[in-house]
Amino acid sequence: MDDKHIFLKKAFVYKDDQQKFKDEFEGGDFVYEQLLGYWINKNNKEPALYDSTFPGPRTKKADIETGEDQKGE
Amino acid sequence: MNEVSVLIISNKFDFTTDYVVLTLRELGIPYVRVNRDEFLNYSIRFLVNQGELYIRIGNEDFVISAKSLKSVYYRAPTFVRTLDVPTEPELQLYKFQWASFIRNLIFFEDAFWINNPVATYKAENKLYQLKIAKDVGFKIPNTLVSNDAGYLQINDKREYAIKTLDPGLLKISGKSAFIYTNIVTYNELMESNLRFAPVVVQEYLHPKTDIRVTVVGNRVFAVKILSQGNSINGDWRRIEKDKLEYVPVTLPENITQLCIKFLRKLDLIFGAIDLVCIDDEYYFLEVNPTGEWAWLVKSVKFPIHKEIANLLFKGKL
Repeated sequence: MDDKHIFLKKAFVYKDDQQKFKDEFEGGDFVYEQLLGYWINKNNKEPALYDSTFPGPRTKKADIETGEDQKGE
Repeated sequence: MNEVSVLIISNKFDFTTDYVVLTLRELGIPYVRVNRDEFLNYSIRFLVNQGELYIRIGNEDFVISAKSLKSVYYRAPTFVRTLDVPTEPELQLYKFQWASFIRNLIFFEDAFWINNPVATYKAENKLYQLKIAKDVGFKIPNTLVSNDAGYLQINDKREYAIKTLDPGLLKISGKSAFIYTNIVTYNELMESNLRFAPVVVQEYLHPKTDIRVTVVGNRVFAVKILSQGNSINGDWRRIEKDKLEYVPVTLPENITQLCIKFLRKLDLIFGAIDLVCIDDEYYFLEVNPTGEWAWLVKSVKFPIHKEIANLLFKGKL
């Protein structure tokens, strides 16, 4: 019997971590507006979600496991 | 002073919350969004005896009280994982104490919660989900849990789907890792070491079509998930995103009603349910009480955000 637990044999290791996902947003054209409670385009102040150049939300997993269901920390 | 009607507990990178906030603004509903990763930017004052929570963001003060608060949109974990415990004491304090503060907001238990974290805590247990799904009338896969391949006592030499009980988040050599659902042969399963952690072993349902059902109150939004026009073997989350298609479907009425009944039984208002369909038979796999859904607004224009905002506005189903 292989000593390694089957889950460890099957685990998918990501190339990049969650910080890279966050770095994609910070310092770019978009900023989180504290009082409004949503991301905006720095230049025109419009909601980022209405901007076709805004990088999220693309898909369910957004490239790395962002802790779906808010379970990950 | 801004009296808050809808309290939103989220994090800065939860874009589902952006959708909900924008809709609340359109409706003119007074809200405040509190992000778990932004507490250093807030000042709080909770008068426990009076039941009043004051939050200062920038130059604005918000007050949350039973008098003004109608609803809570809760997008936060129900317990704290210790996968990434910071070494700095200040960050440790931040992580654990603010997480507890967030949980303590159930103080406002008379508000309408999407979802109440106490219900979410219970509903996040996979075996309990399967039990309730079966109780309400769903078909579920044959399921075993074991930490000893020899003790599984299965003789059917087919393929099996193995899953973790808890989300399979790991750190391996400093890198994030995730354990998806894996399909294994009988021999591989029988020869494997399961001792360190229990493994959920299910019959492998295939060929199947994956269906994601997002339930908000009494509204049900369903898509089938395909890759290049075809059903997917194994865990669809492993497929490259640009090779996935989400196709809206109308579920049979009995399945729609089962999804709603299932969530009611779990005291949930929102849930992201994973089903599979084989030869027109639907099987329940699992529910995520805080599942992602912004990708569905963007891809297939489901008005999930409007439905959530409307319920938060009404403060009831």
